[in-house]
Amino acid sequence: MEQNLEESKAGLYDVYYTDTGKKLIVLDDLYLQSQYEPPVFQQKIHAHYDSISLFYWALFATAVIYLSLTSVCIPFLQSHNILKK
Amino acid sequence: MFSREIENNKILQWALGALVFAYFIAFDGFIGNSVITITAYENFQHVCPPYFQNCGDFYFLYNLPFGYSQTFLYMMFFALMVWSVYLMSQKKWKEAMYATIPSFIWHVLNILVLTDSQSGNYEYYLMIFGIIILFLPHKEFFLKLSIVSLYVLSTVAKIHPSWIEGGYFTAMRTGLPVFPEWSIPFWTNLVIFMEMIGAWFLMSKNRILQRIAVTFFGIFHIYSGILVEYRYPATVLPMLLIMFGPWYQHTKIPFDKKAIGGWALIVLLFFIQFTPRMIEGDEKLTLEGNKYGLYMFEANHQCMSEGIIHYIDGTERETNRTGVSARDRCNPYTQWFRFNQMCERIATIDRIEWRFDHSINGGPFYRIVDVPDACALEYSAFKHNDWIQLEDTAEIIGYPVKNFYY
Repeated sequence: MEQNLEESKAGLYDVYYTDTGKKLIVLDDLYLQSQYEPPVFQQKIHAHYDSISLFYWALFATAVIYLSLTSVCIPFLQSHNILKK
Repeated sequence: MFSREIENNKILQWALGALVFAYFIAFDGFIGNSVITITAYENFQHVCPPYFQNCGDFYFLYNLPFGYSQTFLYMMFFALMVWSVYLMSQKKWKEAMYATIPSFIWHVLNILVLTDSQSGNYEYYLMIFGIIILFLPHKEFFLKLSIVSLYVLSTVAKIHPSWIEGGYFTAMRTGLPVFPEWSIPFWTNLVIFMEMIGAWFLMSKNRILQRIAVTFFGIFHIYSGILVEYRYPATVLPMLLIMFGPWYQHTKIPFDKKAIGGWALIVLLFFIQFTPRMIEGDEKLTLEGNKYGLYMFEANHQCMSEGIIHYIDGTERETNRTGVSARDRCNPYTQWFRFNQMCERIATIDRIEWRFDHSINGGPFYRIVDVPDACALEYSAFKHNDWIQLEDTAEIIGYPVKNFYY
């Protein structure tokens, strides 16, 4: 891997191209040696990211709605005799 | 004030002490910080909140070594905090609350009005604790509910590849403290789950589940300090242990008219947390609305800003900046604000050519700003600014290497 001096900017960042043509921008204070490749487990999760994020949103909504109803709304209505205990 | 509640409740008395301690820790950071000083204004270093862009007009302090006014002011707060602790020792709870109110007001002014640079997540915690302890009735219940709500709401910012995939930490050279790289997504998802679901058990009548929850969050805060240092655990952990630790008792849910203020605060917190989601684009990349609500560890950032100032006489000067720390938010608004101030106050500037490249979680550098004249731009606080490119329209200009957290 060689540095591309034309695209690099001294004191700001260095530019390198990998053998596969990927352009790496190494900001000042960082190191070329620490190239980023997501771990295998992360890549597997990435493949199912949309489903997992949907699951979390559903879980969030379910928890908030369930607790609002059972711990706040229903006891409130019962305490004001609008709903029977 | 509802100070009677504190007079008769050991938990609230300790909570007031924890609040004063948290202000002490906060102001220890603020006292030497120049962000709301006249010097910062003169040097184009100040940054106002997007919804109050002329905050610099109200600056009146000089920090060391340029003047004594800021340290003078903070020593007045120090004296008030010492006075408040003395009053607590004398069981004069109402007077101790009065002595804490100036710290509360100054803190809120700092994080919401006078600058955009001091609105950290722990400041939001402190502000909410302050509102409840100093001004609202049913203090114990709403303190407990606010702690739980803040854990739950923090997951709204975490439903993102930063946490679901663990990209925030795998994109750092040092990874996640203690644990191996392969296990990062497991731990980040455990935190999401516990904050979203486990946090509710802090208020449980079931003693075993309640103890498991408080132990988890206690360990979580100690562990998180490895990265975030003392400030965040010092603000949240004392309040967590006071409310949910050995003195924990189930608190009845209040439904009387006095509780309206507390319920309104909780509803407001939920509403505000979702405002970034109402602005077009990924707020982790554009940073538009990112600070409205909790945004702790929303994404690992790297960026570079390249500006060329063109003067009326035809000369040019480059002004460049890089952000390599994962926690350096790389907000294009910050750079735009400083350019905008220069355009307004330096008559010899003709225009500022500006490019801004941003990478999150080890992903590609997107050129999210590329404009011939930053002076001609305006920034809207509550909607997407068209001059900031979104992920699907921005050009990819390269890829980052791993960075650091500091």
